Amino acid sequence: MSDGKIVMILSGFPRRSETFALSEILALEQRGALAAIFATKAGESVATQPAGKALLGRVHVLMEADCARQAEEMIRLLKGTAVSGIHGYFAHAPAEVAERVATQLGTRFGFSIHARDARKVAPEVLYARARKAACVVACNHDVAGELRNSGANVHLVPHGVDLERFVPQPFPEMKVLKLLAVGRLVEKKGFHVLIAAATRLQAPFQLEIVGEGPEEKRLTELIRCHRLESKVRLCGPKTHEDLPEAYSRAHILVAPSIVDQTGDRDGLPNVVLEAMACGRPVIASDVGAIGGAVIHEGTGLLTQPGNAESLAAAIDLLAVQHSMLEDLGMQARARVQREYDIHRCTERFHNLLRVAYAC
Amino acid sequence: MPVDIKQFPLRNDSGAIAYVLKGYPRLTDTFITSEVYRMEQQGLRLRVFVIKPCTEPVPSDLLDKIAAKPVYMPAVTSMKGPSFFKWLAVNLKHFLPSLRRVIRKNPAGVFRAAGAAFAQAVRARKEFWSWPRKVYAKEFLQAAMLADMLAQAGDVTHIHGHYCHGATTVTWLASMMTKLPFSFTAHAKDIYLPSLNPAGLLRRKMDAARFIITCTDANRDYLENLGSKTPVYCIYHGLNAEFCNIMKEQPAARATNGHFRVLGVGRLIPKKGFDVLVQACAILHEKRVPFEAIIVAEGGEHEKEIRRLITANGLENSVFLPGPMSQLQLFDEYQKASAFCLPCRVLENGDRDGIPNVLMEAMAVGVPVVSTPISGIPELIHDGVNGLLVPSEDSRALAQAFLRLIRDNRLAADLSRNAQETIESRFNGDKFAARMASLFREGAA
Repeated sequence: MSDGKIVMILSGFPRRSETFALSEILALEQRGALAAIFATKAGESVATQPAGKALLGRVHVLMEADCARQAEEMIRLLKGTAVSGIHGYFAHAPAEVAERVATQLGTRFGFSIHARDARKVAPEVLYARARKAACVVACNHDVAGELRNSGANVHLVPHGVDLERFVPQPFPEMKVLKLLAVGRLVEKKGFHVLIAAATRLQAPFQLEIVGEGPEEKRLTELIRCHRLESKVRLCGPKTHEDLPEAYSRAHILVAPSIVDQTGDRDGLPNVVLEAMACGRPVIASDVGAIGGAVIHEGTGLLTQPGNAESLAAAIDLLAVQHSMLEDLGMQARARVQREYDIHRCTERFHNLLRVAYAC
Repeated sequence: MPVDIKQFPLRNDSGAIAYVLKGYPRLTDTFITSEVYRMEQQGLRLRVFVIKPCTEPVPSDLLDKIAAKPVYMPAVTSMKGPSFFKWLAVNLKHFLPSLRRVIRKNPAGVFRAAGAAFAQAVRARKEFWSWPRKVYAKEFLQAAMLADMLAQAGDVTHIHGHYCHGATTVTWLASMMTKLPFSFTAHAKDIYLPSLNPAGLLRRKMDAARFIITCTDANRDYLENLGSKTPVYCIYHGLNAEFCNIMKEQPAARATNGHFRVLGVGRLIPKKGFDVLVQACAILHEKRVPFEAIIVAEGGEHEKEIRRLITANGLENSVFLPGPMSQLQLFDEYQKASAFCLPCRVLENGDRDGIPNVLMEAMAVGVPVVSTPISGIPELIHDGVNGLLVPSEDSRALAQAFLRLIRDNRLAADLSRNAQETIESRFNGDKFAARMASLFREGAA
């Protein structure tokens, strides 16, 4: 309705672990909502579809400087462009630059907030910024709830999952229970709790942990001293192409996340949604926003974070209740279809920004 | 949450879901009839309880295909006039037997519900020195009757209220009396009018519910920002079942008579903004653009004003106000229309439409639509892609949009095609029904 379009500011873009950003920005671009795309840092090289390549060609990386300077540079570059709103895609530097530029240009601004970026800003700064923003988009209810408590108006739009790439597969044969865990090998993923739970399991099982990271050594050590080498395997990282197959070979996905010593925690890990889309029940600890997707006894089981006993009991339970396994898996798929369809989520993101910035 | 083995196995036999409705069937709520029908098609067992006896006859083929027959509560007299005790003297007798049975069954629950109703009545009083609000006494009694009906039905495992004011309050209180979990659907006025849920009542009901369903993302955002931890799900109505059936039986063949024919459908109430439509018509009339406008409408508080505007602008021969129509007749009107217009507005008291079902129907038939970017409408219509959006209150922009459609046949054809595609791909009612059913299965587990 108005002539102006949206200016998007990202952090390092693109990044392999942030494919969700690509799909959301692409949805805006394809509907002709974007005036320009800036990044406050250079990104990594990521293989994408042709549509994504064209998008990446439009990204202008700002020179390395503090937020004030980057804002100045942006204002220079935006001269003559009709802008109706400026959106920082992360709550730290991108949001700050967005706020500065918007104040200068007299337009509206807003920002998205995910998980780690929320903890890179002092809470009082974040809350004040959120209250001033025309539009705050949170991707999980953990962080949304925190901001709402501060009096800001927050829209909750999860990053969806591609339901055509992750499709339900029949369960593998039920000789041994096959468990899968996926994630970077860092403390907050809680894989050490999972290994501790594995020592208590009564049912025959096999556990694969996919991913790499700083904790690898410690976890290998842990597996060895529990003599679990034959049952637990750290199989290193897998590409996104290989993941659907990994889910189909497992009976259950386990997400034993915990709050780490610095207070960092998962929001809603993508692997949880992907496994659910593949029709796999998820056993997860009730941390961050995981409980928003994993419904206890509905689409999976929730356990106490850091409690190996409770985790082991949950796994043993599903090991004997086969009908339960399929039932939960079916509900999991239904829930993802209902709530986390990527097309629906990006559509929502687009609508929201269009309305908030009146364009 | 530690795992408790005793809770397994669950839902070997999933029970029935009780729908609690204020009125049913209603012409303005065809989507509820459609929802009930579709939930049964999804294999859920439903029981329908209606708080107000139904007065209007509703022509609908769908009603006969629904297995759940509505159970009505007795009528109560109006609370507006007489004093509370006079009202009680007349009406209490209908409720006493139920109340007695419910108290015998679960005295603590009834006590809790009575406490909640009374506390709400006190909180919501108009001024500090006013009496407690009487309406909650009525809702308490109705809840007791509902609880009694649920106990007699015997197989209900979950209660669901439609519209988050009165019906949901009754559902909430009945849930306390029966210890059954409940959920509700929030639509439009019921969300945004503070007078319908005074003194934080909505938030209280949200906290107590298992989950909440609403029909637009805009509503969901608003509800989520009230701060309750209960999950809120957005499930669009989609095209209603009866309309889908009509479309299947009668393949759309749009037949305009050469005139530019604007169609509007809805009650004559301010939030629909038909006054702006009439003013836009006046502009077309002034410019001597040949056109005709049909507003298929049930009367409402805005009727006088609309009629006055029509005469004041000399539009008696170009703007027509036929009364309400059956879905089949309406389908015929859609096919004859060259443009569909619903210039919705947000009222000062906050009242607004969600995603009007008639917009979806017009788009499904392939009529180019013109509306305003308020509430949930931008979720359906993308300006210039599958319809046109003009600012609300702006009759000039609306007239301009009509002129664009008149002059640019390509645009009209593109909008029409894209609109049909939007409805097929994103507003498929059966798909949403499957989602809602999965929610009931999950939530009632």
